[in-house]
Amino acid sequence: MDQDSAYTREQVREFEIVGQSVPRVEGYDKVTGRAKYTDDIDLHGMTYAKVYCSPVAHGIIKKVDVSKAKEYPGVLDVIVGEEHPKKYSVNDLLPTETPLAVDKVRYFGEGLAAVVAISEQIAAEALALIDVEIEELPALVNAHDSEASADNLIHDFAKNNTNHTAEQHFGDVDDALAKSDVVVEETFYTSMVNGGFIETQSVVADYDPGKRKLTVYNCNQLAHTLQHTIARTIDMPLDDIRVIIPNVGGGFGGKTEATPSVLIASIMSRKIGRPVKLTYDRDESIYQNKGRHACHLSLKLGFNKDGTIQALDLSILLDGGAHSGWGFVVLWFIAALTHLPYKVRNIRYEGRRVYTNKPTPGAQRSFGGVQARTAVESCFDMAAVELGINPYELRMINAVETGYKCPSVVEVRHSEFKKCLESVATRSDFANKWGKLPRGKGIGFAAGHYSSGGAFLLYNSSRAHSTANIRVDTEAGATVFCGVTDIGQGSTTVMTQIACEVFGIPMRKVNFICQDTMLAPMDNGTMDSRATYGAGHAVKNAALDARSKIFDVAAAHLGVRAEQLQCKDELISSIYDDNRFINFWEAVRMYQEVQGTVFGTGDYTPPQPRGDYDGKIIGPSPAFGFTAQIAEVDVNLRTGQVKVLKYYEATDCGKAVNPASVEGQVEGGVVMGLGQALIEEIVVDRNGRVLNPNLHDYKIPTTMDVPEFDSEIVDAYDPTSAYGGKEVGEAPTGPVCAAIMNAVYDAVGVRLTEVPITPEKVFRAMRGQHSRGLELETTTIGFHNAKIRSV
Amino acid sequence: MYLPSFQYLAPKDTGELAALLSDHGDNARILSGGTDLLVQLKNSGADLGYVIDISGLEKLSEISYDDTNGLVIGAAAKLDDIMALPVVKEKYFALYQAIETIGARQIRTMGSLGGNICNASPAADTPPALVAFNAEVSIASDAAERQMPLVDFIQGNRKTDLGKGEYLKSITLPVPAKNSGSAYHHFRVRGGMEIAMVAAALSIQLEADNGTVKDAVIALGVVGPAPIKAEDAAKILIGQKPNEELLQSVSQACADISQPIDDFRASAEYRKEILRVLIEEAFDEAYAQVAG
Amino acid sequence: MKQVVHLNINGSPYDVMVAPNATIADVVRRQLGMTGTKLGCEQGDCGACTILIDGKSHLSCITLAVASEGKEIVTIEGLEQNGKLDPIQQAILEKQGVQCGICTPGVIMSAKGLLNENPKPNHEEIVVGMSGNLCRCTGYEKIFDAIEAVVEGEYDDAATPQVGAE
Repeated sequence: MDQDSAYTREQVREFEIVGQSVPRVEGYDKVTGRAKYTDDIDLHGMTYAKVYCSPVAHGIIKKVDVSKAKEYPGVLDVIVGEEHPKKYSVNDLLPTETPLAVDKVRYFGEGLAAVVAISEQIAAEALALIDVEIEELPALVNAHDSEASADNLIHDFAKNNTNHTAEQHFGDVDDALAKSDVVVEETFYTSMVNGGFIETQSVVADYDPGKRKLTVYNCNQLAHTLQHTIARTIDMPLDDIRVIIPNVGGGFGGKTEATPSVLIASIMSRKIGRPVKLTYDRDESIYQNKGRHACHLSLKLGFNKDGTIQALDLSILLDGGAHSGWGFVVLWFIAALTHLPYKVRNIRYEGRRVYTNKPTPGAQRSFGGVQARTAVESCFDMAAVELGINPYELRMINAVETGYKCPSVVEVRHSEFKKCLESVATRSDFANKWGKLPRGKGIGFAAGHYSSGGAFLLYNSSRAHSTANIRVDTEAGATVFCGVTDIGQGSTTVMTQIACEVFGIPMRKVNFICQDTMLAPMDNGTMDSRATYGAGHAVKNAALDARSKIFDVAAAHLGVRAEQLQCKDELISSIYDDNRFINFWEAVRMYQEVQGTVFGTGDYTPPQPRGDYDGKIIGPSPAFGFTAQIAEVDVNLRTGQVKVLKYYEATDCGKAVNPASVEGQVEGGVVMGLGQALIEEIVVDRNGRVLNPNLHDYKIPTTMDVPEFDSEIVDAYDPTSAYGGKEVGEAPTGPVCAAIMNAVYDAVGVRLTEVPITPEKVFRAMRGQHSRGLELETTTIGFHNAKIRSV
Repeated sequence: MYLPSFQYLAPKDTGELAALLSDHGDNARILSGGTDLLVQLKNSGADLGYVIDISGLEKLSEISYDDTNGLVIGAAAKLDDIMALPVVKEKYFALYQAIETIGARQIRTMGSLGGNICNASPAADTPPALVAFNAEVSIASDAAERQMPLVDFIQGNRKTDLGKGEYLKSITLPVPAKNSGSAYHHFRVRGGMEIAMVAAALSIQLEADNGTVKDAVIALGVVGPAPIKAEDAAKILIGQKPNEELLQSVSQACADISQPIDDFRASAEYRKEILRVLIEEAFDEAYAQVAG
Repeated sequence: MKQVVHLNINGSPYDVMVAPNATIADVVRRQLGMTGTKLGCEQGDCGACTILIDGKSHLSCITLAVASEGKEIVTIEGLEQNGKLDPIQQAILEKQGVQCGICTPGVIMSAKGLLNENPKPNHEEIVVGMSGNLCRCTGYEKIFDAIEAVVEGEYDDAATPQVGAE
């Protein structure tokens, strides 16, 4: 199918279902409690596993004696790390993780042994009988210390505990900075935060000894990647493993990796020949983390007097925790995300990621974006002050537009970013408020973007990133098979809308089968905001393929050319003559009589980047979503507490396929950013012990923490997309920290440079004191003392 | 997560309760709302002999008020039932504010005042407010009943004066004097579902004619292992007409005797600063209630 | 020592053998197969397990089953009547107050309890009244919209007999 001709024709017509805020397809099940999540599954003969978590963060394992636990009545088996020493990681990049610790413990809470029993309580009781001896090593809990440590190595092979380094250089940064009229420079620190999904990671592994096949139910975002990881790690043929993803209780990126529990349950189920369920408690979920990386950033921006940006010079240090996870990709993503959405030609980036004895971070909503935007958008604000240009204007001067080609291979094929900037500036009356509010009240601007799927395929093969197959018949309606995962963001609904739009049939006539590696074809999964764009293309192409077969039959029957047919409300008719029509299902029936079931297939692969520099595969995207945001805050002048009163946002997500869902993504995304900005942080003491592994001390925002929202989806249509839509799931989270930091500066004249912006940090900054930080975190200075504006 | 094993006992009246406590007191915990106890038990993992549920004892859930005896609250009375009583908001506003602060609606529905006291968490909201009203507690056992000031009853972090076989029966708040006002102010980082980082409660009585302070009780919360009654600080106010300078010396006196912890949530030094703000704000609010 | 406990759940009597340390969440999820009640933290921090007991919102992860005899327990499974949704369910569905759905049963039961206590809460009362239910997806806006729509009578036509209230 020629996509280009398809979109030009689609673009001009009004849509029936695309653009409607239809309720979630699975919503009825979710509001009635019918919807099944992994922990809700109950299989015949179910057994239950629990993991013994390491009480130290770094040490040599001297003894793990499980003999007493094995004897405990009701216990079926106990395994230890050395029985399964095979290492894994995301797509086998620098594999260091094992299902259970082998020889050495590298983070607090790492599994040392696992018990499977006839009940969860018995398994938990048996854990108490395991005898563990660990020779503790000094824990490395600070990325700078870790990097400076020559002899205390977390992994023997990693010199100076370095996990990965990245460098990119475009243009001549030194020259451009030297010629710039204004150069702003600052260091920043963004904290380690956790996905905080309300459903902790859970798995049911069900090995069928008769067929020698394994079925794994797991709340994961990437069914096919998980299947690969299980196959490689436990040495089973790929096609003997079926991964089924039940409803996922929130992912946000944190469920894009295989948790050790998946491998443990799979190993145990294969061993005992019974289904094994393993659900993490909240503390274990936080130890397994895979949330956002803590990051130290040092940024320089150069500008000309007229406000045009000349150069961007960034170096970063990522606190990598005990393993690689997605860290390698985050390192390159920050490189790719930093300079957009501004037209900067001279770019230098140096990034390092080091191992520490902390829970391993991985992917989290606005992956690499929060760190980059926090630094860049703060520096834009600083530059605005120096240049005497309103922060809104400064962004307008430099904003990317449709067709912009970066000095890297990144290309912006569609952008309504300027509309976003304009929208929030107008709605908030920014020009009349910035710098003009009474002391203690402030307004801050920030903006950002995110990719709609990368060029990078997890399998390093040439196959399509998304494939959809459709079966249409009178027995089941239209049934779409697609591998994309709905983690709550609404992809099932959006894909169904897209299929309906093509066919011209109502939502209830479309069944969407996904999240099952046996039924659905391979898909790159739900990450990198790629579902609506990538899988959406595949579904549309598959539907067009199936429809063309149905239209051929209808065309012959009606005596008109197939390309002159349309279908609306289940009626196929000539676009020129309403009286020539046939019922859609009648045409399907006629096709079936002769040729059998109607099948359609479609796929999508984004354009592949060309270029010969390191990291080129990460960053290029067929489409970018954009966001502009303004925070209005109140800073308590006595306590330093920051309250976000109102939040303006404008999104360019192309055509909103489901506007209410888009709003939900924006609101949820902003609130996640707000949590990191003000209250969230995984805190680890000097011994690597996690101090807040619960939802009381690890604070995600409550209803009483959210500001009043004023958001707008700007009028946009990305012609490269299936129905004009592109990403919205991640961009809104990126700039929030910076918007609030900039608003705090506007309110009280101090520039906070690290999150979370706790009341104490603001309090100290207002008094000109250095941030105390945690004693163990000798991080950045914490704020930039600026002249306090007189009112 | 599982609760450890225990035997569950639900006495039908206070007599039975006293008898059970006398038999099993060393190896039993009293369950009222469960919002603290069950969470603690889940986290401790240690098996326990008995859990004695007093939530069904009507006598321990009664709340009464009269102009002679004041407000008498049964130990098992639910937080939201206390809050719903108009007299609490009218005459014991600081207590109302303290309860309103606790957890969320579910927690206030389930939790009891006695539980909030006997759990003796240094971060508990109601004890400082109760201290500000000079609350007394009644402690009972099968042998006797005794009264003592609440401020003496809570002895430290998770420590009360409850002896073997004893239980908290009720809390009595004397009738507030005429021309008095009260307030409870707390500081927290998260908007909802949060415990206080620092708290201050006070009640004040003003002279009818000239607005000088006749009497004052100040209680500090979360800045020590138990609520602190800041008597010297309160004395500074007596006989004085409040002004900014006076209040600053009061709040300084409070900060001086406070012993906040220094942890990852906030430094001790900062907590003292916040305490000063809360004292001054609470005073302003209480004063405005009387002086208008 | 397990004992038989007589529980009234969603208007039906259930005699269940439970250990004294079993919570209502354990019983409904693991013994009765009513998995609509969710667990997010298991220690009263997130509200996902909210149910109604005698019409009021309770956290089922820290409520003992043995202590719940003689009380009227309503879980999310008890709201829908003969395929007809409760107005709050309908509103959460239509206003897209549901995304991943894991907090949703708790949110709905909590909203139900809130409206039982205060049938006409204003925005501020909704914000405060729902503060015990963490949601990581929605940013709460659409949940507020849904509850406000119910309060304003937008879903009165969909109303089924009130469950769990007096």
